[in-house]
Amino acid sequence: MNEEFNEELISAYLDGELSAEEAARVEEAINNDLELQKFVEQSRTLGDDLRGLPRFEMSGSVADRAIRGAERSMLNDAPVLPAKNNARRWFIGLSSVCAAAIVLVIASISFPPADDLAPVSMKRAEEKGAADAAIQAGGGRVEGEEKEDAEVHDPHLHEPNDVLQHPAAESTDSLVEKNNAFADRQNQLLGKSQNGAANRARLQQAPAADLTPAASPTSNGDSLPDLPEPETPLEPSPSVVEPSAPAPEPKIVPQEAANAVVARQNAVQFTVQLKIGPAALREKLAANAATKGLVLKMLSANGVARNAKQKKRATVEVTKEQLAEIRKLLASEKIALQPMRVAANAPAQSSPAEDFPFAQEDPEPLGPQPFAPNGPQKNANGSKPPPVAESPADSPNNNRIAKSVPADGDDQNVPGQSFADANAADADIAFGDGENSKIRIYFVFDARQGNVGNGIGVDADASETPVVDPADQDD
Amino acid sequence: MSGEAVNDDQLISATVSGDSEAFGQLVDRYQNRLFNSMVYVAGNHNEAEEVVQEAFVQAFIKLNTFAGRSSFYTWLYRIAFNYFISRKRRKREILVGAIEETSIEPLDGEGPAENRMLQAERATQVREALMVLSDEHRTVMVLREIDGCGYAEIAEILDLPVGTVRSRIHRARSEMREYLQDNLENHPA
Repeated sequence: MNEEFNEELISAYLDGELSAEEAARVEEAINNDLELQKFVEQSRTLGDDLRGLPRFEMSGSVADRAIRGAERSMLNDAPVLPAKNNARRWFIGLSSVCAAAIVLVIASISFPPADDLAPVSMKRAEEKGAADAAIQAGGGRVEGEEKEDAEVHDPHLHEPNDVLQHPAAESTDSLVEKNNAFADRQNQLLGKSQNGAANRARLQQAPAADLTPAASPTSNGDSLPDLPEPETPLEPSPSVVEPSAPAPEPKIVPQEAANAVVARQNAVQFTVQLKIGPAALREKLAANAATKGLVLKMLSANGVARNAKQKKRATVEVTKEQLAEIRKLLASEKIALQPMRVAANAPAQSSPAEDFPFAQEDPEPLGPQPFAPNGPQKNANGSKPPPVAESPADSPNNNRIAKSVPADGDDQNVPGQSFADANAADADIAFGDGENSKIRIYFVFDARQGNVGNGIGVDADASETPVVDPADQDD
Repeated sequence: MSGEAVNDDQLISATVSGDSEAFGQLVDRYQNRLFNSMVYVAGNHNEAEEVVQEAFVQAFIKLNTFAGRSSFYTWLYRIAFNYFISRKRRKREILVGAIEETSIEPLDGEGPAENRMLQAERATQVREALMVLSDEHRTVMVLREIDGCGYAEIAEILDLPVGTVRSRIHRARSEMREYLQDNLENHPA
């Protein structure tokens, strides 16, 4: 009998890892062999000794350290190291300098009240340049081409009591008033004012959040920009829109702006891609209690997609609080955005801010962005009806379905799946901070009903995002 | 997320959804068990703590890739041991007999002081015997005897065939027995 084989069997027998048949054979062998009995006794004693060793516990929970470490690891793309291991940290630091890009994200957007319609002023490249230089000088990290794309998904536009809070957000009542006035104004413009009261009643019945403050005219002195007579009257319902309806003119005109406002009221949610390059923004987001988890999740999702060599975006939930923090952060960085053009089926934006009907000369940085006209709106069948004046309650099918969003509506929070096909080319509106923009926000309207939660996503490969600068779109 | 009945899957789902407190519960649930094992595998507290922390960091980062085919603990262990092994390869450290003095604590034995001293001496010898094992043998012994893992679980954690686990455990036991016998002969109690 092979002794080694027997001892291994006995070892497994002592661990209870043999079948009943094998165990019976081993027991018989042990009973008939004194040497084996000694071996068994020694093995059991050894096991008792090992199990009797003192047990050690960590001093305090490692949870916070682990989460902070994950944050650093994802931001730096390097292992978390103990503070005392300076040589290793230096090595990793240098490695990460060579390694390149990290990611980040953010996005915010809510629609501002008309009198707050934001700025479309270009942002000071020198300020951003100085910030980047400071980051590089202080942190030793190369920013260079770092870019990240993100998508923000905002389904709250039509959820009651869930208006994205702008710093200058008005009360629900005020918004109702404004929308009522706006509805009347629209009806006048459209030559359909005879039923203004009905419209008013309809708007009052609509959820408060539907009354998007962004471009709403006010009834207390603020007025809607003068809008010319529309070339094509807005239709009351998408159901009467012919699929072959002509796409809107690419150039932004007041008429389109009015359409956009209406369309926005109809939009159930929108997505936003955002590129943010400066590491300072990422780090501030990561340092912010409200957005820390968001950054982690976005970076994680991005890493997963990148590891899988997928050029997909992932989404994570974004709370109103996070959106507010993102807005505040961008504002604190004095980053303002201007409309930019996007490629493909999105309508060309009129890049000069002056063309934008709601643009202001010296708008407040980062505040809610002016709402540009929608691009060609697509029904599920791909047709492009023009925006229509209707309340969300009257819009069961919605008039806007971004082709980037799967129709099933079940995956908006599944990393690596949502908005897999979305890219800047699908965007309806884009804003950026200049020709050498590191920050770009793309709106992609999505009319799916019933989705909850905002989303932010990141591109697995930001460089793949087909961004077209205004300079390339002038034709 | 609160409540004692919350299982790992629920905590994982909550964490993936952004509930960092849920991840904190997962950490609290397993950190000491993992740490204890890593102390004996790595040989010292500091290294064990760093490995445990990094394991949780990686677990947090990759949690959305956790498919649930194994238990969270098994998955966590695999992360920890993989990290320890790769770290060890990089550092090329010799850990034989390296359990720090600070980690050698007297056992809370019962009975007369003499018995407690004997128990402490025996524990010291067993720890030394454990540390003379190769990493592979020490790891399976820790998982088996200290952590109480079954062969299949060890095989899953270390990504080994069950047969390999069985033979490694047997060889590890043989080596430890020989070490202890030699030690007792040279230093009789």
